[in-house]
Amino acid sequence: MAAFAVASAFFLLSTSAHAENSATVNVDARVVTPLVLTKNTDLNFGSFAASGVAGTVVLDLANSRTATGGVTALAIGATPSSANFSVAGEANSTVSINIPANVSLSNGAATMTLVPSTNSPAQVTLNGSGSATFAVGGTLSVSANQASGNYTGTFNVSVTYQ
Amino acid sequence: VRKFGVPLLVFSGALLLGARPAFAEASVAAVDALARVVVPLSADAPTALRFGNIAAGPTPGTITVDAGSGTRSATGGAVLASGAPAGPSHVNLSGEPSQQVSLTYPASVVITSGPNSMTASGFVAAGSPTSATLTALGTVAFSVGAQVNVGALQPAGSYAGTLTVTLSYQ
Repeated sequence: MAAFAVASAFFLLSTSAHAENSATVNVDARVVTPLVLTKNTDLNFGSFAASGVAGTVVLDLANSRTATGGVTALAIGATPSSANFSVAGEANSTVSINIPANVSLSNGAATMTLVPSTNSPAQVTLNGSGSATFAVGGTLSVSANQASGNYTGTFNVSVTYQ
Repeated sequence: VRKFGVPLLVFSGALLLGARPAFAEASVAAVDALARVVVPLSADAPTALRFGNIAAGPTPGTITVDAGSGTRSATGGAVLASGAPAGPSHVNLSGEPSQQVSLTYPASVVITSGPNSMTASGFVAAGSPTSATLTALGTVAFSVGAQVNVGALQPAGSYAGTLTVTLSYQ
């Protein structure tokens, strides 16, 4: 970035040299604080029972879980939780949240497909201190007679300045 | 001081040049997605719910099989008779270890012998639970008893029917 600033300054000087009269111009460039994204919690759909009828498990951004179709949500094991992230960066800036279209979860043999979800539109505005948090939930598709077991998958979430 | 346009264009160019690399930077975090699909519920009833031999009288009555003790009792015109095994049904459940399962019984089941029928009702597991908790091994066994209504001069015969218990995780 320093190299760009120097090149700009030369450009400015050489342009001014072609002018007949001198002029002063303010040159201003702001290098924004780099974005730092930190994951606080993973996305956990908890436990549920499959059946002969396919269905979904939906986890919203407020950690509320609902089951549709032949799926029955159960209150055992891990507590359902959406993923939670912290962003640090330029105060009062708005950043885009990038999530994959879908993610595969596997128990080693069988798979389920997760469609992640986040804010709509997919962005978050940092506060005056340059920080913000946001959540990622999703919809998990459960097949008829989905094999039992613990399913895991990993995906990347990123933030970029708009 | 004269003002002219060219330096302003340079100014805006400098702003873009300086800012573009920073705006292109993304910060990435990996996140795990987790879910557990529990072991499906299954059940079998190796022992039927058997009311045994019953003698019908001139007035209606009932025969009850107690789920806990396995003993039979009679009311009204129905009389207990020996000679055939009697007792509650023994049901074995399997599923997700340590999970609670709710048990739902139909209000009544019709048992038939050819054109003749009787109605069994009052299905109940020993201790009257409406749920059972699977052990750490994911199994649990329980007994189911009931009562059958015997009509006045109920025709003789072997009566049979099917009781369907609905199981679901709580």
